[in-house]
Amino acid sequence: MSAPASDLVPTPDRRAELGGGPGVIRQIARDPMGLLGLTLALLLVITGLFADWLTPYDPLKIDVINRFAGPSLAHPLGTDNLGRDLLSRVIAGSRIALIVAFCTTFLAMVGGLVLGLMAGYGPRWLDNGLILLFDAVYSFPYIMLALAVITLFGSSLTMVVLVIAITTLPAYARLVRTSTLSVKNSEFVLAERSLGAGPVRILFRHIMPNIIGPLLIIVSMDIPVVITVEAGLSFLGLGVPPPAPSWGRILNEGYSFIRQTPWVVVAGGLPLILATLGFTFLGEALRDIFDPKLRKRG
Amino acid sequence: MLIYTIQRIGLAVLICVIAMTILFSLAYVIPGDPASIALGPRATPEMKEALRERMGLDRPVPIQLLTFLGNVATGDLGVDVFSNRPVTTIVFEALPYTLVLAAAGLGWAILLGVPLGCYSAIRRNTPLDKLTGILSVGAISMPSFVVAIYSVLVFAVTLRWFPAIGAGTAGDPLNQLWHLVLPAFAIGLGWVGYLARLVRASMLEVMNENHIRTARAFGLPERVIVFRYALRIAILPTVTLLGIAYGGLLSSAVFAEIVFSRPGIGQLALAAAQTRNYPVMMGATLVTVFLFALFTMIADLVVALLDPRVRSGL
Repeated sequence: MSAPASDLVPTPDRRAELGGGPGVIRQIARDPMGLLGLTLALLLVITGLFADWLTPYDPLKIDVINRFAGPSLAHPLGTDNLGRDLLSRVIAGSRIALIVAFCTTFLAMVGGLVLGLMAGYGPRWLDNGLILLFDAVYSFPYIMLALAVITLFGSSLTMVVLVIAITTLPAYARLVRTSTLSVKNSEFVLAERSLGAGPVRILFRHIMPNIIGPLLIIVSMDIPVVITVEAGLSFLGLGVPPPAPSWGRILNEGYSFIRQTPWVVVAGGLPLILATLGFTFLGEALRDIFDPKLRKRG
Repeated sequence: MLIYTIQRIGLAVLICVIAMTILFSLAYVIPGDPASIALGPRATPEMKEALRERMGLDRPVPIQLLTFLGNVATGDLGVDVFSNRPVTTIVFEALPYTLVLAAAGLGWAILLGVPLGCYSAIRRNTPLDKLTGILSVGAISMPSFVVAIYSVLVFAVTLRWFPAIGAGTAGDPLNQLWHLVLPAFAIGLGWVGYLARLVRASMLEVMNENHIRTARAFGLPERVIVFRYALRIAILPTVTLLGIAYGGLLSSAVFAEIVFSRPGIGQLALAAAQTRNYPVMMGATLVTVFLFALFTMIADLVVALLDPRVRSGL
């Protein structure tokens, strides 16, 4: 599936060739699928950030007389069982998706980075212990862990973020560990160590900059997974509590009335598909850029 | 192979014990206690105390943990506080439905995904290969529960080709199969994409290897080269993935059970979560973790059997 971590570490020559941020964006734009991914991902970010200004109606405003209305100029995506405007709810839902995606991936990335560096650079016993812990956490199917945790602690946005972060953390930590192991014996680290640098300086000044790139690619590829998990939990009624218009909740409400109108589930599902598609294409394009071996093979 | 098998079994057991300890710790750190959660806010202190005693929550934590591990080792997952039935019985009544659904979903994904991946690799860079690539990413991106809902909308509500809910009449295999089609389609669709991509990538790698070039130089037919020599090696990463994939597959099955109102672990766990039925929730979660450990172990052993290089280091 994804390339080995060491393959993803860009060499200094490669980094110079990519030429930093704008260079990467230019490379993505050259690939039609990458461009589509970038556009969809940007669309989600912009919609999420400016949701308050973009919603044509109050997403929580009930208008029972207009319930189950089909798409029209007044309501481009129709209305739900309480007559709420679906376009406004979908736009407001993009903010929830964005908050959950970024908080979760940030938490998981920081946790995975710290634990992975500890496992890769630390003594053998710590490495073995942490690997066992990662494997044990990874062995919980995320939905079962989410159901168990929510049974015990109740559901809230914080709980959703924590559960998804904990279940995604082991994969990041394992990636960081592998990258750390491959970098820690390289000449520049040995040289730094022989000059008397401490482990903290070596880890954060020398090893971390070399592994953050591949980690960011994996994280960007995981954003659609996180958005899907949040929507899935909200669909089960275990995610963000009502009346917040999460995409999963829109799907849940639409599914109850699927025989009356198809528009609610269509409105709830489409942004989810577009968002996951966008981030997947973007992640693929990023991986192709940073891993030329795979590109040649394809 | 024997030493590798013993080491691998040991690792699986260790992972299960750690996972059990994590789950136990989660239950122990909850605000309030499992007895209060199970009985709800209206329970009197006497009722809570009685249930705490019955569940063994009045004993020291290390003793509770050891008792818990010991009970699970002997197959005792506790008693459902609502129905008073053993949790093991409840979970194992629901489990076959989930396993059949997961196997059906994965089954059709393998039947379609593996040949598709092979074909893409052989006909590399043709329009069909590119189309397969785009469709694969599209299929992977579709969340399985959205596929489930949309398939209900299209095939059950609009076209009325398949039933929307239930697992079929007991004792009527054809009817049960009929009810299995849509849920299996929903959870397998993403896997078709995954498998097609994975098999394509590994086939491309293997097709460039020396033994394939030699086989070609000997003038062996392309079909023999692809199926007898290349696919046998290219399938190894897929076997490993299938072991690890179980978690995702089970999560998809849980959603499909809820969307299609089918009995199974998903329905059981959701009902337990909604009623805060803590013993059933713990039991259902533990069984899924054990199955994960079992499936990843089987996948590793199969790979070790097919590839002798793996056996040398765990």
